[in-house]
Amino acid sequence: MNELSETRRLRAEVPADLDLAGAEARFLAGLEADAPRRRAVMRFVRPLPLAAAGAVAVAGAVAVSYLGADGGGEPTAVEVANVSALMDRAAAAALKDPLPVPRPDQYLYQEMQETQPASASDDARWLGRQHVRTWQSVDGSRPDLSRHRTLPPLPIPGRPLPSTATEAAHAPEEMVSEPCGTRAPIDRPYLGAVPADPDALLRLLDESGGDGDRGDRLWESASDVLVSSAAPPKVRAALYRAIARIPGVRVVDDSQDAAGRHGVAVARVVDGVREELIFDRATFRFLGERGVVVESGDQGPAGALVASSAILRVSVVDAPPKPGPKAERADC
Amino acid sequence: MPHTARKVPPRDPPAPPHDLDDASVIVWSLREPERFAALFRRHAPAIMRYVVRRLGPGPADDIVAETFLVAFRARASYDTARGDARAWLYGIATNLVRRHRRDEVRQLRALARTGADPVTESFSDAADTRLSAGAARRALAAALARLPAAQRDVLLLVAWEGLTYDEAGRALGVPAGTVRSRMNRARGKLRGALGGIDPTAVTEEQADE
Repeated sequence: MNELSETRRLRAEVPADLDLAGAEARFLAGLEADAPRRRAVMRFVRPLPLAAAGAVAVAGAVAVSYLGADGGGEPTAVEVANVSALMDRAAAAALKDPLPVPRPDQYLYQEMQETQPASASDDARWLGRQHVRTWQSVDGSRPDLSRHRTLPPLPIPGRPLPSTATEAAHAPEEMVSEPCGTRAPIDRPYLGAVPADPDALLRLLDESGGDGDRGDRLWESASDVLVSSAAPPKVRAALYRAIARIPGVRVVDDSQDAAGRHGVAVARVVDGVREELIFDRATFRFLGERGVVVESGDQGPAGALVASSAILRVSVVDAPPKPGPKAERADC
Repeated sequence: MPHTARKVPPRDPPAPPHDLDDASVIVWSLREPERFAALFRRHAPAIMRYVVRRLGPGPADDIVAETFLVAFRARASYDTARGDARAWLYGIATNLVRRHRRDEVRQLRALARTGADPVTESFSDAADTRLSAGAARRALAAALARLPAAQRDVLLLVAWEGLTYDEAGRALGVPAGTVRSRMNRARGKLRGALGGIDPTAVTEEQADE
């Protein structure tokens, strides 16, 4: 039993033989209505989610006014220009990054910690934590390995830690993922083949998908890449400079990663959540991510933690450890 | 049903219509649009269940009809090297589902909050006992609601619909490697949210309470 099988069970009671009469009637009516204007066949195959884009624009507007205000105890936002200054420093620090260049046959090892809200009921809520180690094949030709371990839960600030939080912690889990074949350079664990140029990186990030408007897509892809891959110093530096050019990015003076380390962050509000990429204040090394609710709503009250992570260690190794007999296997 | 070999791609031998693959049906429908209805009959049941599972029965008729209409209008640009149109259709359906992203999230949060699922309530009377969601299902729903839409799409296409990473990538227009990294991130988050909960603990209640 794991999160995947639990997901498969969710709403599995929806029957396979649902009534299609209504859908078919509408489809056939549309087919007929379309027939006279058959020349207009070349429409968008993939229509933009217009409703979502509109909603994001609204969230963005709220974010600006929120970040502009310097409320007591809230993180202070500073001017946009400082995003460039911060990312310049991070880029300069990246250029001194000691991570050795991996060979194609080696593995990128990453050790992370993650925190996110968990609940057993309305009253029993806490912060669940896990420790994650991943070994990713650099050239994608060998299986990847990941190991997950549950860490002791933390109370939500201002609330007691419910007893359910400490009961039955998961046994450590292992997963072996089969190779996925050639990936686009931007999707590889080591970004050895992407251009060390901010504009070129922005184009690649835009193409790699995501939702909402261009800023949302770029931000989501950039955070993904930052958290899940390593890069040559020049590429890393270019990535930071690319992030500085994403619209709507602000600086947050004080943030905290999942390991409790404080730092300064660049942040962007997406769907009422301020998503922060945290950097060490002295070394400007990337520490991790944090998401905080800025608009009270379904995701919780303003100020509530949505998720946080901390990158504890990144290195290059020759091979992953041998998976145990209980390791879960995943296809590509 | 009558058909001639010249209406199917030359690499396909003549075959009765029910044996035509999706690509052949699509090519055929360029000349005879009504042939496209075969694609609906073939794939609509699975697409319908997928849409209902994500959003409930309310908007499903419209979304399923629109999925096949969008596909119909775009059929000239379909890559006929792909015999099976499943990934293509799931991609279109997923795009349309995303327009209802806020409803989807709202319903997942309702399930997380109350243990009752607004999406499946109309199907639950078929069972002798009603399953009131246990802690794991509620935590899972909360975590699904928190996922970025792109990660939720990947997870549900793979976990519910059995798409391979390659198919999910084609559906969403991203490389398989991207699907995999989204999948890993999504699973990591769900795992974290389920941490400490025994997923087998489900409360059973009598149908009449």
